[in-house]
Amino acid sequence: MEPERKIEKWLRAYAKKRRAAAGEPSKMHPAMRRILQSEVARLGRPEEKPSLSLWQLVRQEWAWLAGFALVIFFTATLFLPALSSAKHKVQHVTAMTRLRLIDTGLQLAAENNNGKLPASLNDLTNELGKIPSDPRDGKPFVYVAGGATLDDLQTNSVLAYSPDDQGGRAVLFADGRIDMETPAEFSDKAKDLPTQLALRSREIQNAKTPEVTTMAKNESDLSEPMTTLPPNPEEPAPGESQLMASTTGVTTNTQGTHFFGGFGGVGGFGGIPHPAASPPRVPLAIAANQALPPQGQFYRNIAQQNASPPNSKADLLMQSIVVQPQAVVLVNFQLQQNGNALRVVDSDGSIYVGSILPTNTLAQNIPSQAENGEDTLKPSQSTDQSIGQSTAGTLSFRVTGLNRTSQQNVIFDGNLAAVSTANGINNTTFQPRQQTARQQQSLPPGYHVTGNATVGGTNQINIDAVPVPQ
Amino acid sequence: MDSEADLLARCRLGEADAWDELFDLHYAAAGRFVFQLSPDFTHEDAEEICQEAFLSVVKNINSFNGDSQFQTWLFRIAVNKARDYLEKRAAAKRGGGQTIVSLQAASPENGLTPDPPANLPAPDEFLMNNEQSSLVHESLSHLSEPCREIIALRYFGDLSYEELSTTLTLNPKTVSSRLSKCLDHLEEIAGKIFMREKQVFSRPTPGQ
Repeated sequence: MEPERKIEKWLRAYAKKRRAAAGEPSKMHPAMRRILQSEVARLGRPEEKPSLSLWQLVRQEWAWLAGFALVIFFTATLFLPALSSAKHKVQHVTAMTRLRLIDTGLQLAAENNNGKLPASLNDLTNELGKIPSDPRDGKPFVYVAGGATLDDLQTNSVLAYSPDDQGGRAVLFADGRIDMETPAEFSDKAKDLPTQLALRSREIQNAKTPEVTTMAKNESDLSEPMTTLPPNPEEPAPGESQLMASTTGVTTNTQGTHFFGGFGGVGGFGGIPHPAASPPRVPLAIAANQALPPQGQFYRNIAQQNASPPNSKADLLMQSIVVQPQAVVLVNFQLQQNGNALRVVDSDGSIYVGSILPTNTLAQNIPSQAENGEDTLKPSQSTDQSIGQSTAGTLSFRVTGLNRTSQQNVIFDGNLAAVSTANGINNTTFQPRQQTARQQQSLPPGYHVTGNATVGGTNQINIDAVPVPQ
Repeated sequence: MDSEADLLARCRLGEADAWDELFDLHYAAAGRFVFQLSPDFTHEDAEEICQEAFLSVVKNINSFNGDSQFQTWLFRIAVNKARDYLEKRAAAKRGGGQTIVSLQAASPENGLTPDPPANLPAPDEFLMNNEQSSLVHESLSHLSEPCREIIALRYFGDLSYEELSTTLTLNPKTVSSRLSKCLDHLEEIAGKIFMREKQVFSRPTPGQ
């Protein structure tokens, strides 16, 4: 152990002296003890907040909660009506804008169809993109000017209006004006309209369904039920419900007049005789027979199905190897008619437009089919019979247009022949030779479409199309 | 009687009796220890420093992990509080926070000029300064804080090397070497002060 150093001795001596100077051990002064104990009490016991249940919290803070609820209530009271009002205004403006869109579409369609308006809003699909609806309830506008001629309409004639009265209706007039009519104003307008204004649009839609059904009943040997076209979703106007009830399932009105909405030629608003409406310009052969539905009739070309089967294994092999990326033209299509105008909508959306040809043109068309040497038709026989039937039930037409898929022009020369035995029209001329009895029976009533289509100027397609349900 | 750990556990729970017991156990030792830290400390100074030290103990009792003796931890707190106290008093002597009084201006109340006490030691203190205690204290005041702390704990608090090692969180050998170096430094300072004082007292007066 090292000897103690001199400085250590001095330190110990100093400490001893200071301890001696300190005297007897002192005790803590009571005042200091109180200060320290108060600090202990302040820091030593952390306060524990008792946990409160929700009910206790509500009881303690009810004043705050009630105040908060009042603030929310008054805020909602102040702002919700304003928001609702703004919403209604926007919906009204949107409804009027969409009616303006319909008006534009009607003008365009009328220009393309000698001033005649389309039979239904469905016919405006190409111009409008899709059928606009009332933004307030999502229902389509009620279109009541189907088939009317634009020039014959009065300026205050109603073309379309909002389906439901929601504190007012947006109404489109024939002069392009669009007004927001109150219920009283609209009632006055409705009185000024020809009687049963909105009923006509409903009857136009009803006309096609019972007509088809009637055909099915006439052909009692059909084993399959006929397809009934869906009713028009348009809503009736006020006061028309009673009249609608009286026409359920019947295609005649109180005067017993037949309505053929697809032809729209009965004039006025959707087929009701209208003082300002133009007389029908539909060929009598068709009018006397049966009508295409207003939205058109769907067809399927069965000529390809009836083509001769491959004769040899080599043919089958070639068919399986040679795959030509060829556009499908007029295999499934829709035929729409408005007066003399015809429109064929192909399955890819291509539209070919044209018209029904005069009778003298028909004779020129038939030999062209014969020259094609198609087996499906009987050219020599059909020529005589077709000409003979041109006044009885066969019509010729030509539609042209651009095929979207192939980007080639399509010229379709065809014939319309009624497919019905009930009205005495002989349709055997245009029956596909290889059609079975079953197929013949299952054909829906309508028009049998035959003819030739030229694609791109060179490719000839034989058309032998039968009506099919949509 | 409870052990120190049990007593401290009760203190942590906030029991007033435990705190009273703790105060009674350590207050006298703390006061005596603080009194040694400076020859200038009076009993009142020591009490004030002890109060600050115990307040710090109350606030920080949860940070004491029990690695060392409680008294060792208390002494170290007391050393820091004593240093703060001395610095505060030195700052006050330099004029901080006090009104400056002109020594030449006469008092408007009695017309007498102030006669404040001199900062120089009183005559009896002057005699004591000649002694070792004064020499030691002055030498300690020139030491760095770590050296002053370890010397105070070792020679005034009578802590062993192991207790110093635990309190200062140093290796025992480091404690030994640091203490040796600090003593060397203190000895050097004390030697210089002693030579200065010797020259002062051995210098002949102008009348001799």
